[in-house]
Amino acid sequence: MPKKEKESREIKKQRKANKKRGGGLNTSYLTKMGAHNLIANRSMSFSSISVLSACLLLIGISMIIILNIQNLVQDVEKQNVIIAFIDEGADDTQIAKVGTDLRAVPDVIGVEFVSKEAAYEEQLREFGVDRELFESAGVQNPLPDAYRISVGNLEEFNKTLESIKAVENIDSVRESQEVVNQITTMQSSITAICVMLVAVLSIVSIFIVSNTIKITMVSRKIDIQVMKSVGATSLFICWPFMIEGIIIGLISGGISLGLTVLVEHFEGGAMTSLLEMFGSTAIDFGAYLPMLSVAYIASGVIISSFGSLVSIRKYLKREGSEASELA
Amino acid sequence: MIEFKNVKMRYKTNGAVALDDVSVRIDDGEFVFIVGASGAGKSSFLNVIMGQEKVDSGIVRVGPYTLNTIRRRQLPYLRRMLGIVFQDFRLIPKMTVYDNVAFALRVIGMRERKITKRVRYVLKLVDLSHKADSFPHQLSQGERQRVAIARALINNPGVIIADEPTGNLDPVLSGEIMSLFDKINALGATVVVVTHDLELVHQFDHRIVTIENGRILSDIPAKNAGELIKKEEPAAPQEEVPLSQENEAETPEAEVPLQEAVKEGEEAENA
Repeated sequence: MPKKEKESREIKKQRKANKKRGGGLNTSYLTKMGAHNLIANRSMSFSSISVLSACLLLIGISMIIILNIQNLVQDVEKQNVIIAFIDEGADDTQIAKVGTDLRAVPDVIGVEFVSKEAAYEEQLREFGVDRELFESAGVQNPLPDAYRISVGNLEEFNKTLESIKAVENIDSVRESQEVVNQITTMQSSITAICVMLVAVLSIVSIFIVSNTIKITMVSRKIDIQVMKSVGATSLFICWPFMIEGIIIGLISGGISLGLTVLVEHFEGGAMTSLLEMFGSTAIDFGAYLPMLSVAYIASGVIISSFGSLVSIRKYLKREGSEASELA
Repeated sequence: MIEFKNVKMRYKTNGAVALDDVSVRIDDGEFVFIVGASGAGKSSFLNVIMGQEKVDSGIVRVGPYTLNTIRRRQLPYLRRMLGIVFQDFRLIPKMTVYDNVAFALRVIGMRERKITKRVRYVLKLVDLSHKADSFPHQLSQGERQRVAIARALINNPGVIIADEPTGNLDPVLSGEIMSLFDKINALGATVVVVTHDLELVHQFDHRIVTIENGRILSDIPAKNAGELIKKEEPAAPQEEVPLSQENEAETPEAEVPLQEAVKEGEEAENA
């Protein structure tokens, strides 16, 4: 035991001496080294940046498509109004109760009463026909009182519809179930494709960046061995590679953001006209730009530095291979 | 102090014995040659000291560290106590001589002002001040090895470990490098030189540990090694020389006195 204590005391003494001689991590030197490596291995850096930018661009466009589809669905939800007609014989109290019952149905986000008079006026206005002309011809208002109901969650549309039909004093219901079904199917499949695309592209990006850094590492094997032999800590060895990864991520994020803006500028019209076909509009790209910028830069940096880390890890652990090289 | 006690180690790759019951102690300030043929276990011996290989049994101590139980995060601190010189120099090609040497100090986070002072001093010690701005490819083999030695020295380590430091050098440069190690030893550092160049070893009066098939075949102290050299000069009797006679027969340059050889080398370099 005393021997062990003596040993640890000596190790502490050694560390103190080390600290006295040097100090902490020379981060400014290491950061410079990372930036220098990026330029020294410019062809590898260029290929990393190109691939990462392309992947980020595709990821970004997928995200924009997802956002537009969500916007479209929200618009359809707003437009998707069920009209519930009330029994002819229902009195005011019963009509009011129908309103209360409808509000209690899950996923119903809005209930608005439309009197037979108001509905008649609206119809006449839509057809552009004069009311007096109809009345002089002996045509009476054929429309019943009704409730206009907005439904929130389209995926549960059928269930909501059944609940509405079950409310007392409702004569009939008018809805556009087919359109709803088409939109929800389209939403889930496009979202699934985009999510898969984002996932695959992220993995591909990490793989390519880590491979590129791995190649540069093979060429810098001697540097790493020298670093280890003179007593470099893992952090010291990692730092320049991480800086390299971060710079690659920053540049790629910037490039892909610029490309996305260009794509939106020149091809955004196609998306807008497609959405207009469904009675919706494209998202306001300008409003999303700050969020997109952060997302691009952050994902570039995360993907790239993660790629660096994956490839360094193996080299840091390798002690035996150095030994076999020496033997 | 470096101490091996009944150390056994097998190669991880093929399971062959690398070190077999090795017990040896190297005290502070000693100069020791580790000699033996290729594959005898010399490099494994060094790899264990550097913490690059773990032993299967026995105890290894280097300074305050017991290497059997050393943690991965302690390895950098162990290596800062050692100055390591490789046969292939291992200089970073894109760095100047100055930066290659300064690198070992940047690793420990020393301030640039201090680094400049130390690098200048050490480059002067190895007689390379005039080459500070050169890149490794602009240097001769001997100069590259001196840069590697300067890098090993810069951190002021207690122990200098050299793995075949003269393997890529001609006899004149080899002598020059060995003289430099002698100088470093005289300054107080422990020096462990692994080599298979027996001719070179016999030019010096230092302790000689011979390894064969992973075992210590002989351990001749410095005094006796000196006597051995003297005896060799007229006609070395075969039984008194524990090393291969065959190798010695192939080395007539051994008869050239070291200082003369170094002088010749310097003159050749200046020319």
